[in-house]
Amino acid sequence: MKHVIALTSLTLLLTACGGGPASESDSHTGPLGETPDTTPTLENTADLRSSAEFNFDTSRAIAIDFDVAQAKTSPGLMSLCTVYTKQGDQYDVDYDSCTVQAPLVNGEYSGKMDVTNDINSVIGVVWFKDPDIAPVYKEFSLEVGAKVARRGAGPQTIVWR
Amino acid sequence: MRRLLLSGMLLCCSQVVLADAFNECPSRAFLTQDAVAKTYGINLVTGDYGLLQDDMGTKSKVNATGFNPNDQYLYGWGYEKHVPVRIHSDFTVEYLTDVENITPSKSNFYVGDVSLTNNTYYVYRGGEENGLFAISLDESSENFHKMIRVVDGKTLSLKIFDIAFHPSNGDAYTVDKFGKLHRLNVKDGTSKELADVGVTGTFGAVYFDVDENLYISSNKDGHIYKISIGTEDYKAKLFAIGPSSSVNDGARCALAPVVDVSDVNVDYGDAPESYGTYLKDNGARHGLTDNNTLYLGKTVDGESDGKPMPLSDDSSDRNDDEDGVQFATTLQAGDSAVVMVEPSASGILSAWLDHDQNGAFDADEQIIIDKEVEAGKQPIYIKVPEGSKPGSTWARFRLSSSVGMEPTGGVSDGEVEDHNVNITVEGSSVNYYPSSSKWSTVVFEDNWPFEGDYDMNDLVANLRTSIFRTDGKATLVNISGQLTAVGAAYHNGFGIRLPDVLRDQVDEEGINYTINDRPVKNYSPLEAGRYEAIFILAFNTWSYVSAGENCTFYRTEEGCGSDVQMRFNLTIPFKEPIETDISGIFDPFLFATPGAWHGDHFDTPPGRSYEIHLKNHHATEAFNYKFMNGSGQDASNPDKKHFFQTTKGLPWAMEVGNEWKYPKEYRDITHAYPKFPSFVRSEGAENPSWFTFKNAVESILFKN
Repeated sequence: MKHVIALTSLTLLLTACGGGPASESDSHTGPLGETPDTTPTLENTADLRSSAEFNFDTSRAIAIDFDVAQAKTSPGLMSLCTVYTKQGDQYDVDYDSCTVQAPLVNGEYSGKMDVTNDINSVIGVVWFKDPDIAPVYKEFSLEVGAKVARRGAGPQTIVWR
Repeated sequence: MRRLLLSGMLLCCSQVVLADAFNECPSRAFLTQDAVAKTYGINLVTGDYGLLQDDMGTKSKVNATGFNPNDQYLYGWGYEKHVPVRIHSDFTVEYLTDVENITPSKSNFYVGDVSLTNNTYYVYRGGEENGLFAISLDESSENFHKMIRVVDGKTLSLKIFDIAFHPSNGDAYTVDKFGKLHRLNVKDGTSKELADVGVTGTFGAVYFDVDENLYISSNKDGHIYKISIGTEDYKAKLFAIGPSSSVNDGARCALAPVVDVSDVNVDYGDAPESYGTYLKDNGARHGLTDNNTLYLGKTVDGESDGKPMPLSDDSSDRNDDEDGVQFATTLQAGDSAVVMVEPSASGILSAWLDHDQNGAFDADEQIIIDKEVEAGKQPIYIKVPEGSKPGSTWARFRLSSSVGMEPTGGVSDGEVEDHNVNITVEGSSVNYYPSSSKWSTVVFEDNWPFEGDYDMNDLVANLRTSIFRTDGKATLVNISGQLTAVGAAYHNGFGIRLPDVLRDQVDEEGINYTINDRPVKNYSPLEAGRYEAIFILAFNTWSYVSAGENCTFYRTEEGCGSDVQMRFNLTIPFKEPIETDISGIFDPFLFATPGAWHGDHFDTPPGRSYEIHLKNHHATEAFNYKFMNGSGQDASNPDKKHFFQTTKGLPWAMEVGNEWKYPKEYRDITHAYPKFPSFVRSEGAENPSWFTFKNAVESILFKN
């Protein structure tokens, strides 16, 4: 068992050093040199080892820096949500998935939010109190996994200018 | 058209064959309408109606109908032959040409009902030559099928269109066109005006139910009002919106309750009881049709009665039909807001917001009034009234094809959706974690300082937090949650600390703590005698949940499922807005139930001095740090800010950022989620979404 773990760790280390994007695939979990159809020995959690500092977080902080031009002249109400679809130019937002809802002040909002690791992008929507003005949307890609781990210095900032 | 119609279609045939008496005292009411009589069945609960018979075997009207529970036939007056008719269970008429002494001849009656206490059919028509007549239906009576005038129609001068007999006191009741409620003594032909019911019109169909409620149906608009005769509350309350007709006569078995408990083709709301959710409170309800086309969102499901929170079936039956209304913005007091609604078809939308939080939708709290909406998702701009009270409250949305809906009462189609919402002060922002309607999950092994079995289900709780800020400072925090699993033999409590917030900063008086939507009385969850803001949600989780039959644990073992038994909501206002960067699920922790044994490692029950926190979250001030002495596998080192981790850096508690499907009893998290080891070894760089269902081995997970 220890042998397997050592090899697997080495694989991960090599992958991380390669600097490629994080992958959700489990292609790294098989021991080196073995054929893919070999059933790996079942690991137990008790055999794992983590650094004392790693906190097992399944979310990360994202900083928000919004200054929405359209909302400077007409008061805007902003929502940031995690579930949405896009068809053509049309966004369909699930407003039950929002992480932040806030009025914009002179078009601006800044703050922070925590977003769970399974979310790779969010959508910002600004509705206007004037019903004649259509809402505006902006999509943001969020860093995951290795990118978050490498950042170290602080949260990713999403910017709407 | 609907279920009633389908059954009616089976009965409908061109040749009329008389059937038998009804074999039950039906809960629905019957309407005879039209110049050539047709019979409709009406569900008084919703006003939903359908054709039962379009060929009653007559060429003219049938009116003055009544149901006789003594022989289970309907009776009425047949205009074709100017004689009474007996109506069979297939709604075809049998002319009672043997009735003697019909006077005046060729007369017709449109007011009538059957007195069940003296087994007699009564008809009435105004005017000196007419009056109130009795026709005995009792074969043993010497007056059987004899028409006898009780009083002339000048003496008993009432402008009425139907009467209904009380189920037990022998009197008939009616409401005249001026809205006056009358009680008729049919034995001596006298009447007494009881009250003004508050509505006027032609009430062509009048019914009783077994609970002494009188229902009057207005021909003009089909509105059905309920008057509680039994409690002498004579004010008419809108009960349902049914069919309107210029020719209208109603009959029903007065011994039946209006609700058919087997009828689940009704959609009710699920706001707390005070909002009018149960049928007994005239709860908002909508008839559901077989080919339902008008609803909000993707679906609507039916219930036999309202299921107010916490009984709402939306979570318990895994079929949440509250899916057609979303809030695209915050609801700021005194400001505009945007609500997204998704009607399945065009209809009429009304909505109410309990903005004074008094537990009722008052008449002045309607925020959308009879708005015509089209099919598809669309924004509705609303105004949250000035002076609205900030905080958690309820909104009710009703879609139907009827105008004039109220926050309670029945309509024949559409859907009601109730939503728990937050009203914010102007300029307030809200942070939700993990989002406004999703859950995160905190899981514990409770054997610290000894390594557990890593099934991570000794205590499982779903949590969702909201932080309200004004000018960047936190004003209020809300924590909602549910106790999802207890796979522990030890008795444990569950608490949450607000990191870096002091107890003194909390407005203790303003705290609102509910369990299963009921306020927890005489208890402050803010732990006394502390400097930190620590909230004790349960001293002993086993006090709120129970394992199933022949089960040791709650929702962790195969075959030991149950609905979630403890849901909670905690609102924490601050005395003054505070600078804080709290986020996520804050600092949840497990502690030993005071007085309860927690393993042989402890000489005496450790109680509140024993805690388990997320890895590297320090314990609260209640914790006894002497326990962090290297016992077992614990490698906590307060000097290095290493807390609650094993010698291999593994945790006793984890937060998982979704409504996590946890392993069943004794099954290792790694076996259930094979990508977890990669996540751990890479310190989060690999497989950051290891915890999602698509990455799970389903057979190892607990299934309810």
